[in-house]
Amino acid sequence: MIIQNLLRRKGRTVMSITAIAISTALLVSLLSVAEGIWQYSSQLIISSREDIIIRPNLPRGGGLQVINNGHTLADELRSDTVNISEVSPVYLWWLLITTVNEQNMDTNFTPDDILNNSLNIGNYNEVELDLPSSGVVLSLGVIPERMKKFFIDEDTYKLEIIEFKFDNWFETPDDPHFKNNYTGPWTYEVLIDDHLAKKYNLQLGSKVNLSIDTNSVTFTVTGIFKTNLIGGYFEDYIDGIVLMHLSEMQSILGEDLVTIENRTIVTDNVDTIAISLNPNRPKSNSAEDVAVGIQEKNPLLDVLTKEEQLEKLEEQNAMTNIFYTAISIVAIIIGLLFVACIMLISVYERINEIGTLRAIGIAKLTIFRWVMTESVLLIILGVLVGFLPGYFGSKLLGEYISNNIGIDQELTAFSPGLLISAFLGMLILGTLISLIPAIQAGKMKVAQALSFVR
Amino acid sequence: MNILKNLRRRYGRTTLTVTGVALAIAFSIIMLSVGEAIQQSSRNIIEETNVDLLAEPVEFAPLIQEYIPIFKINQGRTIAKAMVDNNSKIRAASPWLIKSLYVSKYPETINATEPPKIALVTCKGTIPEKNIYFGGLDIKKGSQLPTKSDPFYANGTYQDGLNSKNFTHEILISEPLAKLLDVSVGELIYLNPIGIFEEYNNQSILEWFENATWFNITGIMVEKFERQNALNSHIHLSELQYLTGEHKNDGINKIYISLHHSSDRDEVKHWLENEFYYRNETAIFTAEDILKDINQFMRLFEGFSSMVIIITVLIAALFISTILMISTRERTKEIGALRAMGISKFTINISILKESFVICILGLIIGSIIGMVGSLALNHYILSAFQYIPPGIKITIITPMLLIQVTIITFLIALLASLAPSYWASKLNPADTIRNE
Repeated sequence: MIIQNLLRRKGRTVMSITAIAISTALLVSLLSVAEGIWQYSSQLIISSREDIIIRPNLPRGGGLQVINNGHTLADELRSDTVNISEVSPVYLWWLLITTVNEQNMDTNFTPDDILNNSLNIGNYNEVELDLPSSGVVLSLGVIPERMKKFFIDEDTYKLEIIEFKFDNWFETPDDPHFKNNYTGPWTYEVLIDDHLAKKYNLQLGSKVNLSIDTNSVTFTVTGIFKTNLIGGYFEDYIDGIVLMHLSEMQSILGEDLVTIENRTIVTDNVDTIAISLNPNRPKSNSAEDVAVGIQEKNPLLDVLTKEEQLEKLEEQNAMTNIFYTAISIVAIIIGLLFVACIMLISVYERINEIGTLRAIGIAKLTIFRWVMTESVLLIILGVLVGFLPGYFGSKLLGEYISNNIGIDQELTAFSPGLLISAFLGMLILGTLISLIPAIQAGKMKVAQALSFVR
Repeated sequence: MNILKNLRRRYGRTTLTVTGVALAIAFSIIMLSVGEAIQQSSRNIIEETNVDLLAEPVEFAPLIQEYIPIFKINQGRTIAKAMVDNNSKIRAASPWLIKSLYVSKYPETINATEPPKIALVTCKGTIPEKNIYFGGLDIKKGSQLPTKSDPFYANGTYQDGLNSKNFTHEILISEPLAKLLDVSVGELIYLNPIGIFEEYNNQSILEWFENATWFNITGIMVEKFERQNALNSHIHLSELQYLTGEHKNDGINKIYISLHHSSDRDEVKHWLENEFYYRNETAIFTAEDILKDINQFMRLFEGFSSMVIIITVLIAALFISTILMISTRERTKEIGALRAMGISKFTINISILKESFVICILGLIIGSIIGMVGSLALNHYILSAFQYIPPGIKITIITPMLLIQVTIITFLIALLASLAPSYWASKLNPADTIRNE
């Protein structure tokens, strides 16, 4: 009888199912993207070889937080060979890249140049220079031999969401410039990503200038690597990624030394120190114990194990899920109100029929149950139909987000668990909203219903 | 009149339909008000600073460079001076250096078990007298840096170093920093380019203070364009350059430029670009460039919110259309009689359209109220929950333009929703209708 009722009013049944299907599709798309981002981010942490991450931990202004004495601190930690197998200090920052050609071999300007330039007032349109190709790159300063121990396979390294695949590597594995307070020799080696190589027409052996001001240092391209970056925000702001020796990057940035009053202070700033634990350490020494040991010695450090990183990620994910659910809940409520309205109309159209049924002894509860079942059935059908567009919607949304961020990565997870929770959520809300027409039908008085004339 | 009667007669369905439309409109208002707010309040903040042009070291995201000092301009004073000296339209060019330094207050007793609080403060080195035309700074206690010039610079000699009598030791700090260190005007705080990244003990703490430089707090401030919880400070440019080793190249991060007439902005920008940019010395940005950058950041959110708004509005349109269709079908006999009496198809269609409009207008009124209250609540919640948002920023703003936009969307819904029932009604044959009913 319920199915018959729904089929009798095909048009409105289809419309109701469509409305519920659209709102379900929206909910499922958003939740599957949230789930996909969670799975991707958590997998990055789980699969990484960084068992412990050290970052600075102190109240700060807008500037970058750094850890002083990065090399020294890493060496100290590394001396605990019982618990720790490798320690890699890293500095991630932006640099200005300029290609080197005959016209612009010298990009260092003096105050005189600037003042002379000022004398060209009025003639500036006549100034014709061969503009160098220049842009901003993301630069990663590492100690090559240490960083290599953190590769997830033979040639792949992951830094947050960026994946690096190396064909060539540094010729100098250690960090010689750091020696004797940054007086050691420079290697001038730089690895660049293939997008940058293509954009600037660079090959192995090409020269590039790297700097944060007009005092640049010329490096030689010793390797070209691939990344998973495909554009989006990354391409909006950077031309590519470069890798260099940590101490050389520190010197370019001025994060190596500070001289005050003829007193030279070694700052040796890094922003992260990654630790890989010794797999053969005593079983009683858990990652947490090692982390607590490091933390206790220095309150200015934030020492995080994989579990703690996952916990933080989970907190962020919970917030994301709340945001997505809150956004899709409006569409869901409108869809459910639609069903409630259609059911109210159906009840109104069947007032005489309900009156007759009540007159022949059908209980109020039975009428209530019929309307309720019809309404919930409509919602269930809508939800089930909504799963398919939800699947494609989540693919599209995931692609939209990954394209905008600029990473080549699937960001959706369409799991049975997600579908079940979406189904149950819609069912609970649908049941609640179905009470409106069902109560209306149930409380109808027999005499009034029989005598009702539209 | 008839229309209102019709709607009242079906009170239940009218209420639910209006609620559905109102929710869709309220949601659209809230989502649209977010994008609008970020743009408008950013523009207001930029205008309040009175900065006409901004010279950054590199042609790269001005918004990022504004908040994170990535690149440097060497010979900063010389460049700033050359700008003012060679273009009479430039009123002031103020060089700024921004560096992070460690800060602490000297404890009553040095005790490693209860170490003093050490924070990382963003120090902004500036020449106070060059900033008289710029705004965006509220002094809550005390005063600006009292020494208006930058005497320690002494023509680039930085003579006598920290022992110089020209080293003012004056510092202006942000409210959150004063709160964190529990300090006020007249008290001393210590700045050091390095922190303590070794085992904490009495010796290391004592050494840290011995190597730090003291500063006297002259005032407590709020910067409208900075995060609410920002630990910031202003000191004299030369003193910050000296503490961070930037005095060797007179290094700075940016130059704020004020013009006599803001209308000359484009012309001066063009002049500066030709004069300074070709040597990779500076990139010149206007407020519009910064806003463009903000829009770029908002792109993902805007695309996302447009998608959700379209879906929500689509469901609402489907809702009204179906309900109107049912109502029209219920009145088949009535419509047939009216057509038989000579009432045109057009008049029937107009009456359906009117009914759709009435539902939408009611939804618009209720939805606008819910949307406005909702956006106010959202603004309040986010500003109090996320301390890193600058005090001048609003998360949601309702503008007349936004309301006009929403009204147009609502009328489009009404129009779309009435199409199917109007088409159905116009297909009715009066004779058949009366006979069948």
